[in-house]
Amino acid sequence: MKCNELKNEIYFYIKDELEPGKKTEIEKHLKGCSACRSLLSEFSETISTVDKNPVDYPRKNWDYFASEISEKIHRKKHFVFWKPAAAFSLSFFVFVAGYIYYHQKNLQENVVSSDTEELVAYLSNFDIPELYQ
Amino acid sequence: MEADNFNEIIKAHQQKIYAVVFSMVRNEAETDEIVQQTYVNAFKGLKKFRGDSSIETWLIKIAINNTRTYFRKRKFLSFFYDNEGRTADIKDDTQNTEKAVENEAVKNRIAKAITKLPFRQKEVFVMKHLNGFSIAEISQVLNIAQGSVKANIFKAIKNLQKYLEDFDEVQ
Repeated sequence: MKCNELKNEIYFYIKDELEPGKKTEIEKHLKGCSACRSLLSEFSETISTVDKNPVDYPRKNWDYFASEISEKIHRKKHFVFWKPAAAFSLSFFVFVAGYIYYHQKNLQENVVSSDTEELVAYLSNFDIPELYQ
Repeated sequence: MEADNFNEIIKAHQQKIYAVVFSMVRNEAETDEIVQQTYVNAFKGLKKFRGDSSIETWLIKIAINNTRTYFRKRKFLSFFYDNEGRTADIKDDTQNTEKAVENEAVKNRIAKAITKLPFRQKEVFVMKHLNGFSIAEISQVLNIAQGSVKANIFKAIKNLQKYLEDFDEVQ
């Protein structure tokens, strides 16, 4: 066995999950390889640190949790069109708001231009030379 | 498979799926969300389930995909704000003894180190070491060769060793 082959098996050696033949092969390699012995010692330490501090899983009421999941599935099923409907409503609102804004702007421009025309027409009834300069 | 039996499926597998997701995410609220979403996805895709693998393997595959999406989202959001505190639930240590506080700090440190692992290494380590899956099961869930599972376990422990380097003083 070479060092690289041992690397992939070292975890299983530490956890004693290897078949006897493989285990003997590893032990034979370890006897003659100080680098792998050192790796074994470091890995054993790391694994032991993790094992000494197990995960604190939250305590849950599993029946309640399962009922929450069922409810969520049910809710999702009924409101499957909610997102597309919201997207459509938003697009429609933006379109209508844009249309109203554009329309109002045009209206204002027309009012301003017609006011100016009316003023010029009114003033043209008088003889004001500055008006034609 | 009948959709009516789905409640039974939820009850039969929820604890194992929850354990796998929580070991990676270390946040109860986020885990609740991921596990619930897993079942919503599974319910939607129930007709597509062909029975190539066990229902549990299929559910865990979905849970792992959802967890990956969660980590991707978190990574994206981390550009905008610091969400370091979301990694692990913060425990209230005020009533604990000094030793208990110290143990809690060590546990949080290990949790953070596991969360910090590259995703594939984290998946493999959490499934094998923390949840007792066999190499064959992990290979099937993640759709990778058994040799790759072993190589990822090696890399995961190597990285954990690096992340936990200064632990000797604490231990």
